[in-house]
Amino acid sequence: MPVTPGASAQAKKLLCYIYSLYGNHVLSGQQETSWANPAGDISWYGTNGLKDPAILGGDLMYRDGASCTSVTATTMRAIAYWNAGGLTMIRYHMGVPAAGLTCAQDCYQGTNCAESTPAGTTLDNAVKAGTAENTSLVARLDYIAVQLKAMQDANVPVILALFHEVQPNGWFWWSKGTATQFVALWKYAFDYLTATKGLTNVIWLMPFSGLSGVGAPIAPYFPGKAMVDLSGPDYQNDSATFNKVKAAVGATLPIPLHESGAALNPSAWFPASPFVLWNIWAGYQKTALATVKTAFGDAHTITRDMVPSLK
Amino acid sequence: MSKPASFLLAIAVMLVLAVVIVAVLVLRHDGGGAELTAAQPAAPPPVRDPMVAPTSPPPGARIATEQPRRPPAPPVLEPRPRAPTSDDAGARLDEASLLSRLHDLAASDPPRSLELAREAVARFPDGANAPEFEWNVVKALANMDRYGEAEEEARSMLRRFPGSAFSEDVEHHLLNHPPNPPSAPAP
Repeated sequence: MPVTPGASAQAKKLLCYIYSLYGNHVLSGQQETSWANPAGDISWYGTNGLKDPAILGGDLMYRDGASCTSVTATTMRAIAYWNAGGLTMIRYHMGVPAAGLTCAQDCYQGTNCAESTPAGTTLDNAVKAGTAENTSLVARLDYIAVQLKAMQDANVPVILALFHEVQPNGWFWWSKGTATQFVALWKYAFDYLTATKGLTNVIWLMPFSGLSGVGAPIAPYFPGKAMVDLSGPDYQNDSATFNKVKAAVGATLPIPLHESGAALNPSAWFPASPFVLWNIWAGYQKTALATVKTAFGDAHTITRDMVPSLK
Repeated sequence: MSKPASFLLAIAVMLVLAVVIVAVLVLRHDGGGAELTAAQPAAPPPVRDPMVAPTSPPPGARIATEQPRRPPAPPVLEPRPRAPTSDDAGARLDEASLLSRLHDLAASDPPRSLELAREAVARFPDGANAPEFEWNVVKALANMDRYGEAEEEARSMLRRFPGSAFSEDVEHHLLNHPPNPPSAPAP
């Protein structure tokens, strides 16, 4: 069962399906180039004689002109991909929660952007009601909720990779504090989106960095199985990385490669490190046709046409 | 020895002692970060890797480099070794301990991480952890929002350690990252 209380039928079916694949198959995925011709990422597969990937990855940092309270093009593409038989996975390069900031100020690099170093009190205040940082965080979560609700209304379950690439001394503001602060942040977001906003279509993916071995042990960053459906690294698809995450999250949770390069060799993963999905980063597939072909031709690989109806 | 001669000698000894005591008091009052005391053996120089460019002055270095504000002290006065600090301990750490120290620091003190990581890169350029030390240099600079320098270091790291997971990580986050959305405020 998904950790989301009262999970939708589609969310339950999706998680059951993922569990059924774990250990024997891997879902192919492709992150869209949200900032430039996102449709081109999927059409590239057909153009090159490949089947479409099972998963389309999106990034809520890009709103394509939509306001923080309206449905974005990213969300609309996610719904369309589900309707075409695929699955959707969403991440969000959320800006630093600071006084007066909402999703309208989201950015990757600069002042109060995803990669920025937050002020010393930010992570504590973000989860403390009545603070400016909390108001800012809630504004971002409200924005996410609008997108997830639009998918829920369309009966679309979504794999949510919120606060991605977690590691000690991570790149993004949410993992530049302590493990305790990160877990508090995760719990706040989980409670807000499930209990306060009543969303039932979310599969919660806790996304570690592939460099998770850097720094202090990663296990303290894991929020616990009560708030996580899937948890895995990015990029490093070797068995050592797989086992590192497995040691931190336990042997039962399926382990995804939630973000990846294009050099994928699924046959080498089974049975020792059976990642349950991959998600080639935006545009990376276009310079690696040979390796992508190898990955898509592998007997373990699930493409969109192979995904059963989960509606 | 006659009584007058003994008396004069005693006065001379007392005068010398008084001069020495006054000199010690004056120097102590002058301070300047260098405490001096009489007849202490000089501190041995710290053992350093000859390949290392020093990142901070060794203990006692200020005494040698500062211009004295008072006349030179009598030759019997020698610098007393400075009590070791945690920073000094860090400067003498071996490769594994330096890495461990960087792990402990994580993102909590980027200037200190930068100092330690640069020292590690200089002392262990071909060590097993060299890519991770370089990664820490890049990461500390980024954590201080010094992105221009971080990118420069990242490019150098890609040349030195092509194919390393740490190099790919900095490439992904600094040299080939998603652009800001058009609506983002100017940095």
